[in-house]
Amino acid sequence: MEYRGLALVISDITEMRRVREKIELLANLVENAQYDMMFIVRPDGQIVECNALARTIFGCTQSEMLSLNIGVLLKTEAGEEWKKIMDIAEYSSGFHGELTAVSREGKEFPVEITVSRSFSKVDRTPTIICFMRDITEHKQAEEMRLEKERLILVSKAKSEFLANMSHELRTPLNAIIGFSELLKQKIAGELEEKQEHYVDNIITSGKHLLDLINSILDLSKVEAGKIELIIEKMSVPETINETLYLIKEKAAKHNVTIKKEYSPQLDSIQADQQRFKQILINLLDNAVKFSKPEGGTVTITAKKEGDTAKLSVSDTGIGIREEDMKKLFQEFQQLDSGKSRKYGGTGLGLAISKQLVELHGGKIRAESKFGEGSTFTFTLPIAQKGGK
Amino acid sequence: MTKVLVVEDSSLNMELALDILNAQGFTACGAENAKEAIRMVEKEIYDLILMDIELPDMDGVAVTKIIKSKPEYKDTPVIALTAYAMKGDRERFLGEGFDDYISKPIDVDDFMRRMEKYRK
Repeated sequence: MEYRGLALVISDITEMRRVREKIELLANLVENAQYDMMFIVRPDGQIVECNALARTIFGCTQSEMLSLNIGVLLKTEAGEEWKKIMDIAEYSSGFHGELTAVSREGKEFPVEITVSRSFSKVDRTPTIICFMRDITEHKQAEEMRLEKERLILVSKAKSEFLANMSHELRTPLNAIIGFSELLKQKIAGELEEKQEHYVDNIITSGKHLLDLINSILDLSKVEAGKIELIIEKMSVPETINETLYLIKEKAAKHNVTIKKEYSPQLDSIQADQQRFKQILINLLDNAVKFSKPEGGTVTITAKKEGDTAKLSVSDTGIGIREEDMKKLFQEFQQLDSGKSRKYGGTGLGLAISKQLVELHGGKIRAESKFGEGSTFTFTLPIAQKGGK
Repeated sequence: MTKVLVVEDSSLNMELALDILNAQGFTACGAENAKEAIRMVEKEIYDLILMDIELPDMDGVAVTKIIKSKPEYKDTPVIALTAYAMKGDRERFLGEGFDDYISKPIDVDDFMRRMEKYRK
């Protein structure tokens, strides 16, 4: 009999210890929770218990917390929000939502909050359990995702607009330039001198307009990030020669001699050949265009500096004033616009060239002495990631 | 006698293309949309077709595929006319069954020179 009594006592202690261990384990989990703030409150909001994270985030000591109403921690008018929450919690299985909390220093932050009612097993008094999670980072990530989606839509709209504009603008131009050229070729009959002259004027204006449209659309595409470079291994001397061929006639008309200085070390680079030519022809065109009335020299230099290719176009032209230097690569800025009718052009060439150079990961700059000439230099990396 | 069909929805562009081709000594006719183009290629045999990509009723690429699937037109050159040509488009057009493409607005001299290649 005593023997059985002994056995019963032993099992009771073990059970008690197990229960106590379980309680300690759960209390530990609550107290040291890493992500969730936990509060036990009375129905009126008075805080009865909270865990370490709650104290840390709100910046209060335990005794401070116990003196507070939970409504104070939420951005509301004197616990009004808490009353609303209690109403919801009472009539449904609990409250779950997003609110703004306020720390002791007054810092506001978004929280996800869950409130549920429980009843004490001892005396059936209602106990409110509240979980709060700081969702600042989560909300920021969400905002970034939405912004990214919005930008994609805007970009798509821009592309469609550019494509439509391209079509709409080119169609009537096609008619203006095309039919004028047919007139000039006398396909519709002989022309008198004055008629031929008028037709020439129409063709020149039409082509200028086409240039302008192409430049604007090009620039828009570059700025909308729509230009994709087609990187290939290209021969520098060959490409420069091909480009020089295009400017030959214009240079002759302006009495400009073209000189070339190629360094044999700079043989080929990885770049978009068409865009390279576009940059170069723009610089050459300017160099010839802004030459002095009696003519001059344009020198094009190509050399290798470390892992970059350095290309320069120098002229002996009218030069650029110091105060105009900063306007150079901006859109639609033609220096001394009074002359623009004389020198022609769209004012977009350098802006586009700058974008194209920078798209390659390079740089472009200008140096000039007013009345003596200018030098435009651009550098491009010799090798490109993802090139052939 | 080289017979050319120009498929183009803009009457101005069509008139321009037809006038140039006829002045060059080709025999050129026009179709305003995909449906008419298909009707015309079935009625007569053309030696060369110029196809506007941006047609109102059907995509120019799709029409070209239909025409080239006909046995008489298996080897007929079809040239794309487009306002959108950019670098990289050339390969795309060639891959879609076109023999070449011409950008709009048409450069008259360039156009006439290139059409010479297709004279029979």
